[in-house]
Amino acid sequence: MNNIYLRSDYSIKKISKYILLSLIPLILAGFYKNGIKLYINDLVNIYGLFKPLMITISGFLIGILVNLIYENLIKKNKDTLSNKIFSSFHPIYGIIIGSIISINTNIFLYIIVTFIIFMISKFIRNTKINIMAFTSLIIIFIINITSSFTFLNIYEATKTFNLSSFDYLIGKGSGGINTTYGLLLLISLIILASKSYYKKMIPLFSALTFTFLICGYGIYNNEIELIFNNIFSNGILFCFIYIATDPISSSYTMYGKLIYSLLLGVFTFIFFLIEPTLAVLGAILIVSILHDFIDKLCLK
Amino acid sequence: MGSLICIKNNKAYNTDPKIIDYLNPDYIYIPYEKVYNLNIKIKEKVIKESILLTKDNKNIYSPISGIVLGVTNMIINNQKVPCIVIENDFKETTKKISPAKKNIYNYQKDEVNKLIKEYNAFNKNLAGNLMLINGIDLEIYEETYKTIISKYSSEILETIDAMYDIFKCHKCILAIKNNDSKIIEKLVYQIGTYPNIELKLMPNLYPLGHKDILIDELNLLKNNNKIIYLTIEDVLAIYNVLRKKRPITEKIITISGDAIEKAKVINVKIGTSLKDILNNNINIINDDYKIIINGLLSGYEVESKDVVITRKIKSIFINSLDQEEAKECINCGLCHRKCPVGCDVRNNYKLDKCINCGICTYICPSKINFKDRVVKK
Repeated sequence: MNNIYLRSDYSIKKISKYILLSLIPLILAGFYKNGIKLYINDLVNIYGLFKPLMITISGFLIGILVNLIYENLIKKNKDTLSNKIFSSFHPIYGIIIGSIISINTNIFLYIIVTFIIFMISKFIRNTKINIMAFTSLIIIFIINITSSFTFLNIYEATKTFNLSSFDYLIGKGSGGINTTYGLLLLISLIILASKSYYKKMIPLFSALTFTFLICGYGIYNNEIELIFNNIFSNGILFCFIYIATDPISSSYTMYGKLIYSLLLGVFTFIFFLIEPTLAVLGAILIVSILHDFIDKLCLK
Repeated sequence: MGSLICIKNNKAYNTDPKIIDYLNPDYIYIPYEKVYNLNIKIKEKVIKESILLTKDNKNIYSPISGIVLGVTNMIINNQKVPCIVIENDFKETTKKISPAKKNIYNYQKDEVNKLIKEYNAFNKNLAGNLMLINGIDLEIYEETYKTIISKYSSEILETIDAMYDIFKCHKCILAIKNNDSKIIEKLVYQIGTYPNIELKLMPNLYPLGHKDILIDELNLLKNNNKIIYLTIEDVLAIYNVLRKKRPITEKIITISGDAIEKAKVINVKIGTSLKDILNNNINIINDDYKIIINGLLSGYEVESKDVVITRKIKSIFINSLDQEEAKECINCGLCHRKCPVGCDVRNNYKLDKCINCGICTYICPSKINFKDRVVKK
């Protein structure tokens, strides 16, 4: 048996914990924006106050539950409990999906859909698509069947705002529960980029490509305000940072990551012109299907 | 080339800085391949440095004086190989030989190559115009070269300078790690006498001790240089051959691991069994251990202690480390990004360039054994 007898401290558990740590400021900011602020203004009751946290944390718990069911009942793994909990990225996927969906989402619908998709994904080996983008889109489509989908919370929906570019940095734009604080997102990106397992090239180049195309579009149509604002609204930057960099469904070769990012930026822009709220999720879903092909092409 | 990695120091592997001699084993085992001509018989008495086996002017010498007992199977390169057993009489009787030249600078190129081959110093013919001496141990926690430099610094510098002169090189580089201040201080103090030798301090990165990686890092392949590549161990062997005109019958190895009380660098006779070395020199503190030959990253595991010390063994690790269970690949790409030669083991890309450094397996967050996959392919 050829093996090595010294291992690095990199592990799925360690990576998950680090991503979780980087998400905490965003989760707290989302709790303030979509819970505390609404409760102070008497727009929601006590359930509404904690709803943002309940959605985010339930996503994490679904991920843990799915991992424990799979490891205990299917694989019959005798590893430690914490290793079973973090045997895959599903708990982190749960938090990220809970962060990107709208505060108006029915929590039971969210739990059921996420649980079913997560369970199925455990049995499909070599899943090529981005589970987070796929689950979020399914939830949004189901919501759209019953009512019209919007990222705006009750407070935002009842008022008209004239937002400056700075307002988008402090979370006044529209987007998923924990995705609107541009400044915190940039800090999270810096924190994550310091780790070698994080594919920092993807958020950088996809955001640059998207901004470049939006710039061109804005200048062509004399809609200059589009240029800066759109990168921080509709969860676009959040998705570039957390969803597009999912290791399993993104390219890993040097040129692969570059092509993946460029395609992601281009697709996000194209979809943005059709349906801004779903643009980035749709783009990630399509590019994630291509990631394996892109890598193989680059290696050749 | 890809990136090199920094592996943290671990106190469990700290080595005693002195070389311990273990030169009187009860038995010596000499691997016997049928392509060799056998010069001895059972029950025959042999003296130290007498020729036991010969093939195409290549000689295998007896490291001890004693009596030939017969043939038994021992482990060499993880395979059972028939070995000639010699029982030590502890007399170290040797034959008289013609004296060596007093000044090693007086040798000619061809003479040096002839003596190296004749006395089994190493198996390569030296030629070139740029000399690179590798003083960096290949493996993590291996301290053989470091200890050799520390003990034999003046002999090594003299030999390097003489080789530079004999082979008329235009440049001579001695590469060592930059993290051992005592060795650097010692060499810097002595190197003033040898202005031709350029001391290069290299970062403590893995696998910088590998020949190709070191040459690449030093950017030596430009200007059509023809490199004479030697390790510190080779230099010491050349010194012994040129100075004493005696065959190489001893080997310095590191014995380390987290299942032993104290890691040591030991000078042993080639052909000593690992069982003898462990029983007489090493205190094993954990009975549930694995034996790993030639390093924790690029080495291999052996099942029994019947391993014979050969020229190819540099280190032996006695480790109690348990292997973590492998999980599914998360496509992070670290195995590809961190590979020093740019292989992609998952897509069979550039596998022919693999140097068996084990970084792909070391770095994997899912603990997948890529090294095994590469070897099987």
